[in-house]
Amino acid sequence: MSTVNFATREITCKIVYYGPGLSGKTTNLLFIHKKVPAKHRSDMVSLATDGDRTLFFDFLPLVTNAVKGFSTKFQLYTVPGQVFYNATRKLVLQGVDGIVFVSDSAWNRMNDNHESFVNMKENLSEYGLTIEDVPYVLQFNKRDLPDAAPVEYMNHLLNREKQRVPHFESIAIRGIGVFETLNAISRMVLVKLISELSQNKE
Amino acid sequence: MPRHRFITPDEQKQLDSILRELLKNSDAKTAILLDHGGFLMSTQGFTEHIDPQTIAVLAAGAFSTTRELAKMIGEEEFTVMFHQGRRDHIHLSAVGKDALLVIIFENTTTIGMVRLFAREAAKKLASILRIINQRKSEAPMGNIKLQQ
Amino acid sequence: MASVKKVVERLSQVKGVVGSILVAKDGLVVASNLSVQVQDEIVAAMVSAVGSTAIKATEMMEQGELRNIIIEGNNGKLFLTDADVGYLGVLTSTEANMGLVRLELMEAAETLKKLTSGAG
Ligand SMILES: Nc1nc2c(ncn2[C@@H]2O[C@H](COP(=O)(O)OP(=O)(O)OP(=O)(O)O)[C@@H](O)[C@H]2O)c(=O)[nH]1
Ligand SMILES: [Mg+2]
Repeated sequence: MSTVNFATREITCKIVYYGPGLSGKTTNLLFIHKKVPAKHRSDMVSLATDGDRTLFFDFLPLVTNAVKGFSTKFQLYTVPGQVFYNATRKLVLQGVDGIVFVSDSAWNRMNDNHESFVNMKENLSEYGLTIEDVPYVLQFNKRDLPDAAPVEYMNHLLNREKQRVPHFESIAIRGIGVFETLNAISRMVLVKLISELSQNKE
Repeated sequence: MPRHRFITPDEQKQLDSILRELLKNSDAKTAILLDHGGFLMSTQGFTEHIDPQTIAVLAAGAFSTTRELAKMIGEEEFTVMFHQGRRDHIHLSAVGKDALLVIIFENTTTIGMVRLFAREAAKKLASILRIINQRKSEAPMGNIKLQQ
Repeated sequence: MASVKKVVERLSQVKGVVGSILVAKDGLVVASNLSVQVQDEIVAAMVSAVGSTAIKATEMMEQGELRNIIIEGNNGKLFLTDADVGYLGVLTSTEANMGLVRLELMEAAETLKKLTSGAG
């Protein structure tokens, strides 16, 4: 749910990085945190295990000037990808405005990618949402792996809803494709917000 | 829950002033209003050395975790959480159906006092939030445009 | 306007009163001004136990609404009344003027009711 505050002239939207364990969700946020100047972001909060696996979520707030006359805040969250953390994964999805689905390009992770996508739809439905209600993009991460699955195959596996969505190839550890993904999803979220607002005015 | 939420300057003023009143009455240090997703709606009082946004996100996390725990043991809901420190304490309570109030206080006041005025504030806040949440976004958006 | 804390503190300044306390009905201290020898939490627990029993007793004996409770000891007295948001109590020495203390207590309770009418 986006919040538009006319007193502080702020728009706030929530973007969630979803995907199977170890696919690179936290790595995306770490890179964004490193590259965005401090005045446009706050500190990143990570609730992780000792072994750097996300336990509850990572959180990184960004401030942009994407909308004229408003300061536009994007709150980036990651979910814990490990299967048995579903209870907390579901909690992070609450009030989501846009999703980046981060998949792992390794051949042997295709099952996990698919399972995670199905799990995402299930968890959305708990909030009365379907995949058509929430703007999302696909990120095919770890393109540097020697056994990376072909993009066509990953699209065939994950991009098969009624509405095809944009996909991005990335190497998150080197920052490749990270901002392309973020720019795309944040634009989609704002376009949807603005179009819903103008519809309501009629 | 609505897809989007609009807060008018007047509503923001009311939310702010309820929190200030709460601080004055209870002698607490900081008050933060947020929704279950961790969105900040108002911060009042002492905020040096603390980051209200981070506190809001963590508080929302703690609250939703506790709520899930409550469900698991068949309890409706825990409506108040209290974390006691050596000098600083945190009181976390539900405001209506989808908002939370975080109050940070020191030993200069008591948990009983904070709870008393948190309840009073929660009632007032909830009635304003109800209006905000029921708004079907006939909001005075003017012409909101994406920056090129 | 007076604060809850001030109302409780002011009670302690009444002649013969050695301490005052406001306790939520479940036993949590809201505000207190007791001497260090008696611990807030212990007094609070006792006050809420006595208060709830007394309310039930007056009710069951059809004595109407509880107005106040007086407990007398060899070294002093405890006065209690129901202030809606909790029990308001004062501890007095033996020399205290009972009439005066009772009056001040009831008045403080009324002030508290007004101060906290939105809460509870
Ligand atoms: N080769 C390669 N490794 C990557 C890439 N992106 C991330 N990794 C590595 O993959 C591992 C897991 O990355 P994380 O970002 O922690 O994964 P996650 O999706 O947050 O995992 P969970 O928190 O368990 O859900 C780390 O060792 C990263 O360095 C990439 O593009 N290529
Ligand atoms: Mg992670």
